[in-house]
Amino acid sequence: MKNPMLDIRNLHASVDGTEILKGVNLTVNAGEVHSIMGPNGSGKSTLARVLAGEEAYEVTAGEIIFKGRDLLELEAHERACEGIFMAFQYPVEIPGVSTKYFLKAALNAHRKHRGQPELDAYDFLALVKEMAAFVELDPALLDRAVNEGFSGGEKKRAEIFQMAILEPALGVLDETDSGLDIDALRIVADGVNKLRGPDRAFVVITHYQRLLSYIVPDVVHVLLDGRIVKTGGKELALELEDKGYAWIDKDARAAASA
Amino acid sequence: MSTDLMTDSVPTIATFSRRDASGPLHDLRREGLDRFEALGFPTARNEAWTYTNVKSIAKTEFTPASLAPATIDDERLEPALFDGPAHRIVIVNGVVDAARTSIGPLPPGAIVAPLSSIDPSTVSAHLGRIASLDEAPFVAMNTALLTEGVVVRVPRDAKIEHPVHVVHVTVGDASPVVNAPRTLVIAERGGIVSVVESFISIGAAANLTTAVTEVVVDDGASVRHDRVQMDAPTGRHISTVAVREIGPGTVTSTTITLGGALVRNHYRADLDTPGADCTFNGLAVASGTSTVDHTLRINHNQPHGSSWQFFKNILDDAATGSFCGRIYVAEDAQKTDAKQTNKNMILSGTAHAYTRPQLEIFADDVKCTHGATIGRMEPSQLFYLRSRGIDPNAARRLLIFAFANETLAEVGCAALRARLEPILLERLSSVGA
Ligand SMILES: Nc1ncnc2c1ncn2[C@@H]1O[C@H](COP(=O)(O)OP(=O)(O)OP(=O)(O)O)[C@@H](O)[C@H]1O
Ligand SMILES: [Mg+2]
Repeated sequence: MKNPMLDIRNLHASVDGTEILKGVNLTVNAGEVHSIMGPNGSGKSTLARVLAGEEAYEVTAGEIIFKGRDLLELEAHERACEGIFMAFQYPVEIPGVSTKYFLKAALNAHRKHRGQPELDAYDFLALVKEMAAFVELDPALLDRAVNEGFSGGEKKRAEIFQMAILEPALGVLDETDSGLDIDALRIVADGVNKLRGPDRAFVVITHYQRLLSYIVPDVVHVLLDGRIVKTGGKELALELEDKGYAWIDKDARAAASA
Repeated sequence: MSTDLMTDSVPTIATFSRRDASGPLHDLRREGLDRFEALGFPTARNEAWTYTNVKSIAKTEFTPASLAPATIDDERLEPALFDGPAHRIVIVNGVVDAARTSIGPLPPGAIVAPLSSIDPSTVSAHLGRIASLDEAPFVAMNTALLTEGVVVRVPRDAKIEHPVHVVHVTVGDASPVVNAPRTLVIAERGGIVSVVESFISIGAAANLTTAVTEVVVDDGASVRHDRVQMDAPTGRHISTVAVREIGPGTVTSTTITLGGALVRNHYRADLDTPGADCTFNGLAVASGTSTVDHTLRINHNQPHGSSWQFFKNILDDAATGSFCGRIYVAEDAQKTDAKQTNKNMILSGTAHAYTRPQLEIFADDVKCTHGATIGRMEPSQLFYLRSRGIDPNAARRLLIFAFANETLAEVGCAALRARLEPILLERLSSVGA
């Protein structure tokens, strides 16, 4: 059997001394889409940020194997070049840095990592244009500073646009659907679907079943209080939409005390 | 003001100032000297000079620059030059470098000329009258030393096509010199002009540049003024930009400070007419043990005026940056709109920033805001860049440049802006390492 793309084992992580992730286990194979759902504050963004390599989140136990390598040994920028892309729940604004310049720096860092030459200005602009069209992003935004003054929806769309340019092996989408209008949701979902392929995987964090009717997941997990307490097929998302999390909470407590 | 620091530098300046009693600038020099002798050097007890100690200047015996003739080679001048057409005047130690000076065709009635080549009585209404000597010992010192300068006058409804570029060079290697550059810009009704001043100081001595730029505008006139301070690591630079609006015009003055051991920049605007508009922008990059000080005084004397002050410091090593922005709004100056911002990026544990807004508002229907930030690089921005594959060092560079770039974008002369970008990148590559 092929090795999984991502294998998270017994992951514990803390921020400012508070343990947030309390033993997460998650295996994602190439070609799969996994969805993580769970109530506010359960640790979903924390998991995404630990994967992306934010130092403020301290891993106190467990391991993460990505494409056969120990991910925790890599710094954030190395993880990105190795193929991890996190679409932020709240993308930051970076005044003074033009979106195009930023993308070029990011793309060339990836290319350098892969031993490829830098893309020339012409090819870069062609790629940017193509990908902007791909997620129907207003090209005028590209002449602005990174995320600066973008609307909530524009920020989310810009994250997917960046992902399309950087072509990661693993896309981690943290509530990319929140703040999107119905048309934008469909466009973003179409974008992700077009990027799906046998060598690529996605972890889609969301609160809403609606996104999952567009990006149909192979597996749905429920993260509760820092642990994955339930895993199922795409129908689990429907069940959650219907019943909320309380019943799982009860089951999980029962299981924990058993 | 105390005179207990009236030391070594005063006698030589006095002797210089009094000579050539028949010359046309003599009376003005005399006025400056009298004031300079009365004021003396400010001490640390003077609240306006808390963060800039000029004791070392007071103790230095300077040679007036024009008594120390010097030349500059192309290589040293090159960073100050930009591509494209310009009316250019190069002044080295107070003497016009004729070979490097070239002034193109001008509209009728316009003046772009060294002070020494015109009859000073034609500009005596403004020369030395815009930059006040009150509480300004270094303006007084500059005036006491005044022998050369540049006059730019744009007449009614005319436009000076290309930027006027003045390069002031201070050279002193063996013993320190004091240079007293002076630029006067007069924009008559509806006149439009772009003026760039580049300051270079060269040599190992602790040279002093005391620059004074006077700008007077009338109704509907527009002046873009850019300054670049590229002083040697030992250089001291105390400058004043003084703006007076006698009719409602627009002045935007942007200063980029890239070097010097001690830099103190004064900005003063007297908005003496309803509806005047004046903007001062500044960016300073300071490292080592340098100090950079911006001291502003904006006088809204009439209603419906607007002013904007936007100053940024990038401070590394043990550098100190200070900002003191005083906005005065007279009782009659209703509907004044003033905005002041000072942002400091601290790149080391030993750099310091001080910021003091001082609003004195006597009118009741005004909009005056000020904001100041002192901080390190934003970790969330750094992480965002890194999460896209950009290595930490490159990400830091990008954020430092982004901070600086906001002010670079305010430089009015496009050719200068293009020239400054690589210079700024190069300067920034040596900070925050
Ligand atoms: N710096 C911090 N110090 C202490 N607690 C923190 C810190 N950062 C995050 N937390 C806590 O960690 C918990 C998990 O936060 P996280 O952002 O991972 O939740 P989430 O599942 O993504 O929630 P949401 O659905 O609201 O986005 C929350 O209770 C949060 O308050
Ligand atoms: Mg979250």
